[in-house]
Amino acid sequence: MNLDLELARQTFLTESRDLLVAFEDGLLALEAAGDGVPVDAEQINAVFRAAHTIKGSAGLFGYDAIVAFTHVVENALDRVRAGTLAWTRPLGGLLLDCRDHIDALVACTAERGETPDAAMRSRDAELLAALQQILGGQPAAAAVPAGVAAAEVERCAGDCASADTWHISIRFGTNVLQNGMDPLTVLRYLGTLGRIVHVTTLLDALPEPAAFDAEHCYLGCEIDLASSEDRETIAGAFEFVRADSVVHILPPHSRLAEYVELIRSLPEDDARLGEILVAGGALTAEELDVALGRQAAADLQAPGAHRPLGELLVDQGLVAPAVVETALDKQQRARDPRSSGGEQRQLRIRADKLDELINRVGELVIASAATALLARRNKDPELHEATAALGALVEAIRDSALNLRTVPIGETFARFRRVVHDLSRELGKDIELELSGEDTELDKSVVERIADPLTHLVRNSLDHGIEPAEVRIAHGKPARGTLRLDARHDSGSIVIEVSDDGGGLNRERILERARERGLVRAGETPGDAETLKLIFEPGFSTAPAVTSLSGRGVGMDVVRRAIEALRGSIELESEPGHGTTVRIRLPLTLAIIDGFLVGVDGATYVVPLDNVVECVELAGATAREAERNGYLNLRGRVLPLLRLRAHFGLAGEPPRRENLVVVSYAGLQVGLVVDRLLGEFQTVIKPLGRLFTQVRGFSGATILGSGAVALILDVPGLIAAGQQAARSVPGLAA
Amino acid sequence: MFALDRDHDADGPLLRLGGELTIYHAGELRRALLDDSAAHATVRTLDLSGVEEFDSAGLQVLLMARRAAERAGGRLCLRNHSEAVREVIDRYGLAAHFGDPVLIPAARADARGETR
Repeated sequence: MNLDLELARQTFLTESRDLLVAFEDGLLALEAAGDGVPVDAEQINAVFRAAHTIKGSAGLFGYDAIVAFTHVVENALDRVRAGTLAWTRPLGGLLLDCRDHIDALVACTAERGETPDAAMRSRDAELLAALQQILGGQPAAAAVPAGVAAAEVERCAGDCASADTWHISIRFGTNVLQNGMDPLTVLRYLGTLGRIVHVTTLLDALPEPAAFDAEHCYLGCEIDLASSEDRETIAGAFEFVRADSVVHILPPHSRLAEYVELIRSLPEDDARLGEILVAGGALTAEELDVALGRQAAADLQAPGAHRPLGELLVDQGLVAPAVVETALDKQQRARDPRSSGGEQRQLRIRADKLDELINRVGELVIASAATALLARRNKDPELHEATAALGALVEAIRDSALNLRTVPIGETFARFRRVVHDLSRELGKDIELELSGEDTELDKSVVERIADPLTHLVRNSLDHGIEPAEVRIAHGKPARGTLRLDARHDSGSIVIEVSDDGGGLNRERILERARERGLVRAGETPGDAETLKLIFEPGFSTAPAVTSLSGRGVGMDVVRRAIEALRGSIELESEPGHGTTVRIRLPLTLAIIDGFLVGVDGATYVVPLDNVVECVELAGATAREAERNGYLNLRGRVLPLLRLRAHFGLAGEPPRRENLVVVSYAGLQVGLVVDRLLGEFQTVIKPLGRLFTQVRGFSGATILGSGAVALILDVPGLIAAGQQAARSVPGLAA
Repeated sequence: MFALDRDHDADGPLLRLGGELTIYHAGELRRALLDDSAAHATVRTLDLSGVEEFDSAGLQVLLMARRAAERAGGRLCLRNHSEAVREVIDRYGLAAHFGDPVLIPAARADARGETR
């Protein structure tokens, strides 16, 4: 497989995945609307289009198994769309199964390059039979072995123009001449791309002599071009006139319906345009008759409703929507920003290229910090100013570079619609999924790694959190359970919440189980939060009995470990009878942070700036109070203190005046007592080696502008230590 | 530059056009051929042998002049097409529309024969 084809295949894979997601979303939306309700035309169209495009692209690559199967699915969808097949829940379920099968087919044939094995083929037959039953047992393509008949339908036979020329139809804009462009240039350029077989110039737009403006352009052309160039190159000829002209380009062997659409969309008389097309060799006279004849017949049938002919032909099955054009059109849309309109413009980039860029930006940040340091040391004001400007730019580049990696979490959230749909059906519960904060962006690598833990939490909530309807009604709650997924940004981290309105966690039984497993000593009663945390203990997950008790134990330690691997944290809130909320807190990025430098005993440490609340000088009475109590009354609030010098076991005398850095994480605050405050600094996080994994209190290291190494303080860890220390302070324990 | 000379020959009055029949002189050309009613009432022939540059704007004025002549019940003939004019009319496929005999130089006719 050559490189281009390989690239195209990759595109097919990613596109199919996207389309399958759209397919699924549409089906789920239809299901949510319920039985008997008239089907939302837009939704069913979206589903139909997704199926159709997958089929079309698969045909391009010769993945006949996909084409054959999807074709039948498409037929069913088409009938729903046309209103001849009623939308029912069983049909929706079947179509979802079909979606999964298409997914499997894509993975099998396109991704791994295998032919479907016996199991897949039997699944194929099974689904097709079920579809056939719903479709009313028409002897259709389903009965035919996969890959032959249905694929054949796609190849255009009588439905396409026989001419092997491009047909280009252009009406030049009035301003073209004034803008310095001459339509002649376009014609001359086209001549270099191939052989211009025929040109018909349309003068219909020329006005009455009195209204004629010699500097306006009134010309239009119908051009037949024999060229082996691709559509993009040919469209490129119109680059400079496209903005104010109307251009239609039909590739060789376009469907008749497309010619008809062209004829209809142009201002001139239909019959005359038809003649021009015939004269230019784009269509044969018979082809034109077929196209226009059908149109007339349709008009006769329904004089009131004038339907576009293209639609009519497709509906009658006369025109098999052609494969190649679909793909070409798609490509065109993707490459032509002007025609994309409101669609999101996107570019697919290999992840390793991005990573390399981010790495380089990281080095740039360090280098720029080193320059700034030099400038400061040399006390050269001009250099200082220049480095400041440079620093601001570097910061902006850093932010945009990191932004490149961020994606909205909505895609991940949307996946759970299906999970909730399937599971609630399986469990016989009626559960609604509410999503919010889908636009919240986070690092792509984080998104990828968060999906599994989230699935775990969602499954837990559905399975064990939300009670069966009878129980809910007995407790005076609505029969329909609600599962909420929410994401938001909060002081340098992203917070994802999975909450349900179920029965909540049963503390007694958790404690009981914990005592059995020796996690809690008999006679000891941990606080509420500690009790809840027990379910994250590894011992809890493996015991099979736990699942029948609270269920929340299943794999919760796995979830916790996955979150911690992302430098995140997880916490639980649970109110008996009202539900449970699992809150996951993750850092926004994994690579670069804004740091705040502090000095303790000659060494420099970095505190992530997002965690810093304020800095306080520790002197006089405040210092003595802090010394005596180990905590501080900060504007009426108790602030536990953590002396870094003592915490890290550093030797040496503290300076006369110490400083306090108040840090916060997840709603808790601790004051870090340090020697000196050294200001802000952009920090590239370098992971600590494996040797240091046991070292507590640091989350990484960084290189300062001076070349020295500074350790990055692990604020959540220090806060936990600070809170612990505060408990041992006699004054606070009471 | 754009040149316009009134002349006479066996068929009656004619206009000799020369120089640049382009967007830069389209306004002048329009006035000469369309607004001057005396011109299109009497002139039946345009001699294009002196035309050095010709573009879509020039072409449009000629098309309009022809139409105006037709409205007035006459017919405007183009003759002695210069190479520049011939190229444009060919590109647009309008030779049949004008319906005037176009002299193709021998050298070019040969070249055509070869490519066919």
